[in-house]
Amino acid sequence: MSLKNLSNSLTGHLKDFSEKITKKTIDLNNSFGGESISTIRDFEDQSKMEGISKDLQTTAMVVGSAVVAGALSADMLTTGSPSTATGMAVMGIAAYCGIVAKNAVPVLKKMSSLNEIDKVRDLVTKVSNTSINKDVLLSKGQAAVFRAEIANINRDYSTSIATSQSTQSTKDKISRFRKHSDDSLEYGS
Amino acid sequence: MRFVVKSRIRELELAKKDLFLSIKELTKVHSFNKSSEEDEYFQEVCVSCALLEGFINNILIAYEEEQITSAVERDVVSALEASKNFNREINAYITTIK
Repeated sequence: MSLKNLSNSLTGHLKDFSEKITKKTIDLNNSFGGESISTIRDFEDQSKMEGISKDLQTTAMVVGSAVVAGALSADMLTTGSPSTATGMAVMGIAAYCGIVAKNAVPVLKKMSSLNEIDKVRDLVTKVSNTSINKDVLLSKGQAAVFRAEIANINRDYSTSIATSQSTQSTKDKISRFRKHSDDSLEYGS
Repeated sequence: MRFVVKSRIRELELAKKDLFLSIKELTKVHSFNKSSEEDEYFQEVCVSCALLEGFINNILIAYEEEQITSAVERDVVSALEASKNFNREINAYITTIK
């Protein structure tokens, strides 16, 4: 079996219930502060109220979209367009809440030894605010590191939002997500 | 019925742990930068596993909140089946490259 076949096979399994995953992501979004955040603008406004930096909003949107779309198209990170903006906002929220690839953390650790993390940070800061800047194309290898790095950023974010002015139900939801994500990290330690 | 759900949830927790250990092992044996195509497939596998993990987390939360509906019970079955398929195939791949 090749890695390509393995990837295709896992994607096939995911397709069986991808609709459910999408629905649950939207449900999660709807439960976020009791509001439905359906556009980038709403998303930005909500983030502003929560005191979230522009950089973090952008990176979460990018990676949120990339991670969820990743099972369908690995190139999403570099080919995203404004037409996907709504989906990106929804998925960005999902990323905030910890769905983002915690499994990628071991990748980050491994790539850290290659001293490429600084390059990733530079790339993150170059991504444009409301759309993916196509001039900032990530190589396929860099994309893996990028996603892993964002997983860590999102951990920091989920901590900050859990202590902000969020509703109690939102805090509880994020807290539960973090608990389960932390469980996974313990497996990998 | 409640006992069956609890048993299935426990099974799901173990499956999730196995999934993480499988991807951890895959990370160990994967040769980064061997080819960009291989790295891309590797990250696709990671992303697929992350999606499944998120799906499982949703179920575990529903269980904690005592909101196990018949729909969630069906999700448990789907997630268990997917987890087992994932683990079997990832481990099969690891075996071929060792």
